[in-house]
Amino acid sequence: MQDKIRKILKEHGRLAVDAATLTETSDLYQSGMTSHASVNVMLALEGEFDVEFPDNMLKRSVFESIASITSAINQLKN
Amino acid sequence: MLNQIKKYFARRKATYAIGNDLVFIPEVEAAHQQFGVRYLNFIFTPKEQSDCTQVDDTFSYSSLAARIAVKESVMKILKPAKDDLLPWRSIEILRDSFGSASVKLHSPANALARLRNIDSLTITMTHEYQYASALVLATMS
Repeated sequence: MQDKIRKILKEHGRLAVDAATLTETSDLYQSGMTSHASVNVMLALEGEFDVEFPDNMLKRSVFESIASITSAINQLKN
Repeated sequence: MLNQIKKYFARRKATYAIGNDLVFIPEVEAAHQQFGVRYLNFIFTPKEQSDCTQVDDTFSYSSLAARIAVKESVMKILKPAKDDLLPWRSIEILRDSFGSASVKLHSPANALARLRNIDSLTITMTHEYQYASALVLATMS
């Protein structure tokens, strides 16, 4: 799952660093992800993992790291 | 006379905040091409989408990008709590019949504006070549 997330971050995150170099807990916002880029990341995640983020999960903390995104997707799939 | 004096000091006590933002227009076009109506409906109200539709029924990406820049600028002024992401559609950019743009805040952005004592928001937006930008001035009592 994390490889797919990294690929999405590389394509849509507009990060200032290579997504491959991010640790699981690297702060994506501090790595350059804008609010607008986070929308694209969210939509790409929904398409890739066939999930839909409910309003109560639209928080900075959900999209702030690979670990938090992984946790959110696992939560949505279960 | 007393009211005039009160108004004078009320004006002197007003404080201001500014927010600005720059958006790369091709990024908006690419997002729309890839995510379609889901992207549009997540960020823009029906009125905004209508305002940005051209006579040939295609979208003006520069206009959409300029509205994103306004929304981001307003978010910078409203300063939501660290974990909160304000819904994009709670900040709506309207155009009157004379072409002047203004911002209308919906819940929860309007509640946050009240909390920050924001009385008014004045916006300008522009675009040139591949970038759109916006500047927002907030007046607070």
